[in-house]
Amino acid sequence: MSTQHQKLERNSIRFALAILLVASIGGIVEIAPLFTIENTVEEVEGMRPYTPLELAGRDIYVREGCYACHSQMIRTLRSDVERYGHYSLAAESMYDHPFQWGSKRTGPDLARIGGKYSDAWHVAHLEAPRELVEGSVMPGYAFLSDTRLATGHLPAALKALSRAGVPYTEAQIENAEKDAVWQADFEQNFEGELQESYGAKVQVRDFDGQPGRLTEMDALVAYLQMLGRLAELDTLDPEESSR
Amino acid sequence: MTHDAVLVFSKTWGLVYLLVVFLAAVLWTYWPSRRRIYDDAAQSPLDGREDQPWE
Amino acid sequence: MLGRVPLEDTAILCALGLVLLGGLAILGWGVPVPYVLHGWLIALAAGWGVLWMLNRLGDTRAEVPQVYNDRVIRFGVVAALVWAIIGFAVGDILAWQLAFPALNGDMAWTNFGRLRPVHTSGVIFGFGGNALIATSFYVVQRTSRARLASETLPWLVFWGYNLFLVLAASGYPLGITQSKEYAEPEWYADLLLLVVWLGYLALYLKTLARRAEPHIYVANWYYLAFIVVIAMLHTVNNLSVPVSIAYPKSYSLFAGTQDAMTQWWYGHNAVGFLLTAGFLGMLYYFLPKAVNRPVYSYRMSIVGFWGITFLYLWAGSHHLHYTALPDWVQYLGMTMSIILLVPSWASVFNGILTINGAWDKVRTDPAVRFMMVAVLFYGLATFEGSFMAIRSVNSLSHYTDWTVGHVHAGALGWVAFITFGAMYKMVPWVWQREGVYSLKLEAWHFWLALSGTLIYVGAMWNSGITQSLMWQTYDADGAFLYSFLDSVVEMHPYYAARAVGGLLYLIGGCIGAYNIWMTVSGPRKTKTLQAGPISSQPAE
Repeated sequence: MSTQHQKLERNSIRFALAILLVASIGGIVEIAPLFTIENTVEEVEGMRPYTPLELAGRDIYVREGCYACHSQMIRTLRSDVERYGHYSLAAESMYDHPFQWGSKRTGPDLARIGGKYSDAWHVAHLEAPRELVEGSVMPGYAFLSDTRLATGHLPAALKALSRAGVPYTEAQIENAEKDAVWQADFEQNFEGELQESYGAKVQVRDFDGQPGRLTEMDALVAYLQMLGRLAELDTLDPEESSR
Repeated sequence: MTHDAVLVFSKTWGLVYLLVVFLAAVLWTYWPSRRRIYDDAAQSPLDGREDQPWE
Repeated sequence: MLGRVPLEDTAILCALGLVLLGGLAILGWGVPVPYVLHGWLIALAAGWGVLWMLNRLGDTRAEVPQVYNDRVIRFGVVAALVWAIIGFAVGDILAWQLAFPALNGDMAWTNFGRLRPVHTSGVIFGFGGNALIATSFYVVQRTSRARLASETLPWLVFWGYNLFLVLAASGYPLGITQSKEYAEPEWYADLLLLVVWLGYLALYLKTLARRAEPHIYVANWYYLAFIVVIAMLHTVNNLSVPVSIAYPKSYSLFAGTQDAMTQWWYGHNAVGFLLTAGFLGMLYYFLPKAVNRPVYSYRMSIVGFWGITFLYLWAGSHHLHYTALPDWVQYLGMTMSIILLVPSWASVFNGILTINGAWDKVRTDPAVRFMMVAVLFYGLATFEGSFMAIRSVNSLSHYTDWTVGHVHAGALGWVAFITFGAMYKMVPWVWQREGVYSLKLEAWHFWLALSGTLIYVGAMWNSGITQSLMWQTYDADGAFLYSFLDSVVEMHPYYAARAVGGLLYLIGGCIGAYNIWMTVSGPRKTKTLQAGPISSQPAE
C-alpha cells in the first residue's frame, strides 16, 4: 500500500514540476536576456540617482497610486512624441525601483512634466485640480501641504536602493535626511553642497510655497519638477537611440 | 554570452521548443491506446461514484 | 512526545512560529501606525494558529471522519461572496468618482489612487481567489474520491490567505503599496502569501496522491497549473529590498525596463493562470456536472491545457508595445499572443459543445445560463486580447479605457459568471440542500449581471476608441485638434454609463449573495447520499 502510495505521490509532484518547467521557459527566454545585455539600457548623459527629497516625492507618488491614471512612458508613436516630447529611453528609468511606466492615461503622461509648469501651479493644481483645470477628474491632494514630510527612514531607504543596485555613495546615504531638508530650504543656503553631491541639475528651493516648512507637497513637487529633465537628449547618438 | 547570441538562440531553439512541446502534447494525448483512459476520465464526474467514495 | 509529532505538523508549527515571530518583530520595531497594527494582526492570527495546532496535538482521540471535508469549502464560499460585495462596491464607487470627481472627498484614504487596488485585489484575489480555493477543494476531493489530505492545512490555507487579503485591502487606503499592479501588497504580506501558497500546493499534491483513480481528472490539471505558476510569478515579481523591519516600504529589486518586463510577465500571467487556468478548471468540472454530460472532447481539453501553459508565459510583453522595451521582445510577445487564441478558442468550442444537447437546461437552469455566457465572454475576451496584442491595434488601444473594457469583459463576463454558475451548483451540494432557494432570484441575478456587463463593456469600448482617436487627430496644419483635457471632458457620459452598469452588476451580486444566504439557512436535504458518519462532522 505505502509503496504504491509513494509512486502516486511522486507522479503528481512530477506533474507539477512539468508544469513549472514548461511554464518557466517563456519567462526565462524573454526576461533573462534583458539582464545580460548592454543595449537594453543605452548610455545617456545626465542620468543620476534621485536626491533624497525627490525619492521621498516619488514614494508619495507611488503611495497615492498616481500610476493608476498617469503613465511615465512616451511611446515612439508620432502622437505621443508630439504631445509629450522625446520618446522615453530605457536609461531614463534605470534608477526606478519600481518602474512607473503606468498602464492607463486617465490623465496625461508625466514622463517629461518637469519644468513645464511653475511650482505654484503644481501646488495649486494638486490642492484643487478643478480650480485650475475645469473638467479635470483628478482628486485633490490638499492634505499633502498639511503633512510634514517624514525623513527618518531616508538613510535606510537609500541604503536599500543601493543594495538593489543604485549607486548611492556612503556619504549620500549618511546625509540623506539633511540633504532632504536642504533641498527645500527657501534660502538655498546649501545649493553648492547638494549640487556637488548630486550634480548641477539639482533644483534647490522651497517648492510648496510654505517657506520654513518641509511638507509632503515639497517632496512631490520636487519630484514632478525633475521628471524627464535629467537625460541629455540632444547629445544622443541617433543610431544608438533608434536601436 | 552576448545579447545577439541569446537572441538567435531564443529565436531558433525557442521555435523548435514550441513545436516539439506542441507535437509531444498532441501525440501523447491522441495516441490511440490512450483513448480509453480519456473516455473513462470524461465520465468520471458523472457516474455517481464520487458520492460513495469509500465503498 | 515530540518524536511522535508527524512531520507535517512539525512543518506547520515551524511555519506558524516564523509568521508569529515576523508579526512580533513588526509590532515591536515598526514605526508607522498602520504597519504596527498589521504586526498585531499577523501575530494574533499566527499565535491563535499555534495554540490551535498544539491543542490538536494534545487531543489524541481526534479521528479523521470518512467523508469529504466540506466545511472549509463552505467558509471559502462565504469569504468569496463577502469579498465579491466589497470588490464590486468599491469598483462602483471608483466608477462614480471618475464620473463625478467631487466624490473623491479629497482625503488621503478615499482618493481614487488609493482605493483602486482595494477594488482590483478585492475582486481578483478576494472573490476570485477564495472561489478558486473553495472549488478546487471540492473538485480535487470528488474527482480523486479522497478526503483532503490534511485536517489542518486546509484551514491554515483558508485563514492565511484571507489574512493576506485583509493586510492588502487595509494597507492600500493607508498608503501601504509597492505600486506593481495586481501585486501591490508590500514585502511582509508577500512573504505571508508565499508560506500560505506553499501549504496550498503541498495540500493539493498530497490529496491528488491519495486518489483512488489512476488518472488525474483534467480540472485538477488546470487548478494545479494555477497553483504552481502563481507561486513562481508571485515569488519572482515581488523580489524586493525592504527599507528595514521598521517600515512597510520596500524597493523592487529590478529597475526600469527589467522591472516593467517582470511586472507584465507577472501581470499577464496572473490573468493567464489565476483568471484563466483556474477558472477553466472550474468550468471543466462544474459545466459537465450541471448539464449532466461529459466534456465534449476530453482530449482537446488536455491539448488546450498544454497550449495555454506554454504559450501564456511568452505573451506578457504585449503590455509594453512601443515602449523602451527592446523591439524583439515586443514582437515575440505579439506573436505568442496571437497563437494563444488557438488553445483559448479550443476551450470555448469545448464548452459550448458540451452544452450542446442540453439546450433546454440553458432555458430552465440559470446556473447553466451563467456558465454558457461565461464561455461566450471568455471567447470574446480572448479574441479581443489577441487582437489588442497586435502592435498597430495596441497603438490605439493602449493607455485608454478600451483596455479597462477588455479586462472587465474577462472579469465580469467570464470569471464572475463561471464562478456564480459554479456556486449556484456547489452551494446546495456542500450544505446538503435540495436546491437553490429561489430560481427566480437566480434569474434576476443573471439578467442584472448580464446587462451590467454589456453596459460597462459597451461604454468602455466607446470611450476607449473616442479617447485614442482624439489623441491622434490632427488638423490640416498637422497640429493636434484636441487638447488632452478635451478627451477627458468627452469621457463624462461614458463614465456615468459605466458607473450605472457597475451598479447593476453590484445589485445582481447582492441578490446572488442573498439567494445563497437563504439557501444555506433553509432546510437540509432529507435523504443524504454521503457515506460514513456525518455526525462526526462539527455542527455549523
